[in-house]
Amino acid sequence: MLRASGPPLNRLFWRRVFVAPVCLCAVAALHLYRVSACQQTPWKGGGFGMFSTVQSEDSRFLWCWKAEAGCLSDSEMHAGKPIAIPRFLSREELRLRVAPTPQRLDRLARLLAEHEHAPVLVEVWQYRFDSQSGKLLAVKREQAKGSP
Amino acid sequence: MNTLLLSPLRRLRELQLDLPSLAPLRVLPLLTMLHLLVSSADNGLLFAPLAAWFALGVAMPRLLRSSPFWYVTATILGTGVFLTWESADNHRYLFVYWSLALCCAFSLPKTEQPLALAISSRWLLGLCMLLAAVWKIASPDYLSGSFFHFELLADERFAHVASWTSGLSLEQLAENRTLRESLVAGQLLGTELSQVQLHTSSGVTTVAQVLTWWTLGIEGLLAGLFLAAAVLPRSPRLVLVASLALLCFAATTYAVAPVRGFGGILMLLGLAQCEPEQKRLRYAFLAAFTLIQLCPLPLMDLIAALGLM
Repeated sequence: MLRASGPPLNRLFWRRVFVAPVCLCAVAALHLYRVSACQQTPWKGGGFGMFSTVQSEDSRFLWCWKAEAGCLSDSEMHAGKPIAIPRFLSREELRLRVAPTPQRLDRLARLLAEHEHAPVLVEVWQYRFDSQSGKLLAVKREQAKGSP
Repeated sequence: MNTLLLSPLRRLRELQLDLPSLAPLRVLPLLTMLHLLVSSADNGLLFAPLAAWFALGVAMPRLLRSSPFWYVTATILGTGVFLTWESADNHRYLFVYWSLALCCAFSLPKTEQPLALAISSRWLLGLCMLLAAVWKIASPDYLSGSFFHFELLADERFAHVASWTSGLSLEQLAENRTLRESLVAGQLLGTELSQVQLHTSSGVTTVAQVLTWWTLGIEGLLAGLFLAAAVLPRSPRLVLVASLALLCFAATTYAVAPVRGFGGILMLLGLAQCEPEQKRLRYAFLAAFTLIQLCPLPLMDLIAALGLM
């Protein structure tokens, strides 16, 4: 058996033993805060909430439209051209899907508008699964407009 | 008849006694290096510094059993997690904690190192399982069975289990994934859908309920057992039960879904927390670790490939 007899273990021993578990608890507490304050998905962030909910970053998706200069209303923007997120903004996009805060959404809309040299509308959507009917239902969460 | 049966068993027992003791502090640094390199192979930014650092460790084996080596490893891994938090899976966090546990254990006098590593491992396993179980209890779509219902219908990792148990064909399940894609990317394709109907069956609901309660039950059990073993370090029987439960969890989980990173680190933690006299248990964890590394394909894929389903 591991150390059944011998001198009692000192404080240094116990401090070293608890370094890793304390780090785990600290990150898990931060993750819990971010899930409640930043709508971060439980799947990401070190809180071990994977395989607990459909609401992963994959369930959140973005729809973006590029409008003509001067078009500012939602209907005018929706009438514009649908655009995909360029590759250089893929990390910003993923961060937005993992934790869709209004600040992050505004930032992505601004960066996208600068890239497109035109006003853009960015919408964050999320699907949920209805197990009774077997349907995936998409719901719009937030939106932001960006100007170059 | 009995003599015939007993003789090979006795020989096997004698052979087991001759096997090396698989001392965790000797084998774990090497296995950890291997696992970290395999798990970060798809991440160039992390793989390059890790590979360079581990090459130094292989060239100077004494370095592998030193505290600074694992401190630097934890720093490299922690920086990787910090810079890519949006894509870092939970097992990457566990890699950092594990490296820290090795760093702290090697900083202690040699006689205290195995116990320190064993207790840290039990705490890490217990807390990890506790958090996993708590998130599941806190999630209404998990408790209703809706989460596993959806995973079975639209997650490729569960396709063979779903097809095998529910009667849905692999083509229908592939179509479900296409439907999900059309919902997500519909705006670019010119089909702005607000809902899609997935193929489902009553069998899927039953399987989803079984998976829901089995997963929650075993994770809760593992959390209780490992936290109890961490608090009561002088109870080898408790360690034995907890270890067997962990091996059962690995067999039922990673045979279905190939999550190699998480499975591998759990087996290393399991090996680290065994008592010295539990030699066979250590070999069982080593075998499970090797299987998880060698079989990135799930069992269901293999069975399907062999034409048994």
